[in-house]
Amino acid sequence: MNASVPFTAPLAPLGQRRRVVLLTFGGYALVLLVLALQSLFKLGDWILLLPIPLGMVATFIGGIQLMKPSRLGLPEGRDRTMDERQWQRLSQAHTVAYRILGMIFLLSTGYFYAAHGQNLPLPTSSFAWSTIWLGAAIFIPVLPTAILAWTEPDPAEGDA
Amino acid sequence: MKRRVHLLPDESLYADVLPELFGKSVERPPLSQRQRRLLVLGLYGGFGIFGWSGAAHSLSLSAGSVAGGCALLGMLWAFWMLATRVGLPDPSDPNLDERQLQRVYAVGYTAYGALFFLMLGGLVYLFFAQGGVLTLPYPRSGDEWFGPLLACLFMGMTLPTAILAWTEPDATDGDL
Repeated sequence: MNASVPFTAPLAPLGQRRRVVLLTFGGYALVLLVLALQSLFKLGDWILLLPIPLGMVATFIGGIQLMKPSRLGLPEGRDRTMDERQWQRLSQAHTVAYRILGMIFLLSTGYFYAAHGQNLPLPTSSFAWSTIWLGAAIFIPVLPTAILAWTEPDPAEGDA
Repeated sequence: MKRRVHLLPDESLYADVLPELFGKSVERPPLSQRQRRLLVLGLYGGFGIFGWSGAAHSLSLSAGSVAGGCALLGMLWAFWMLATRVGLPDPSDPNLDERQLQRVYAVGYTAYGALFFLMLGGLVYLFFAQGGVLTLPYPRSGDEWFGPLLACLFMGMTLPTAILAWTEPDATDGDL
């Protein structure tokens, strides 16, 4: 199925779109990983010096592109010019995003409750919490666009 | 003319399971839109009170605990009713036609937007409450977080179904 939408920019190649998604979520994953390691092994703040800014910059660079999906040739939101299939693709991405977000929330809530009783890494400093919330503030609004960017195939020769 | 798509109640998730569970055939007429909306209001009113009661507990308001207990019971009942009498079809269900599938996805689209603004609202509330800008109750310990988190979990699970229940028009005579 190809439901690419002829918006202001042509649909970016799949490889490029996936790189943007990887940059955004890879950066955030790096931040979470470093915070977890620091908490688990009681490491000093020195470990945060390089990876945290690096991860956050990657998340910002990718996130900004995903927050303006028309640059990648993806729809900004529901549009009157969309046909039924295009609208379905967009809403399908949101439905999948809802499930993913729900699952993450469920797992993280379970983890936080379990971690309180066990020796599992938990964010303790306000810096760690701020970083997590800042990342989440980017992650949540761009998740449906990221799914669409990742899954939308390149247009066939005849569509281009 | 725009075609109406009716998903209720034939595609209810548990429509086929319940009679088997109870060992008898149960005839359940479809809920009207008004009834469904009342159910949604009851459910989300319960969420609100239950979530607030955890925070109210932090201010030592005993009324919060009582209200929270009552809200939990009402919430569970409304949750059960919504799941059994409305349900949300699974998009992977091969029996759904294209219009029905589109309706399910449209519900997901609305639900994601609603969830985003609810989360944003929650964060703004916590910001003002914790910052002491306004005197607002908020959970401080792990125990006090239990109510709001449980309410959020319930809400996350039911939001798409609640949107469907709220927006789906009553079936006309010809549809039944």
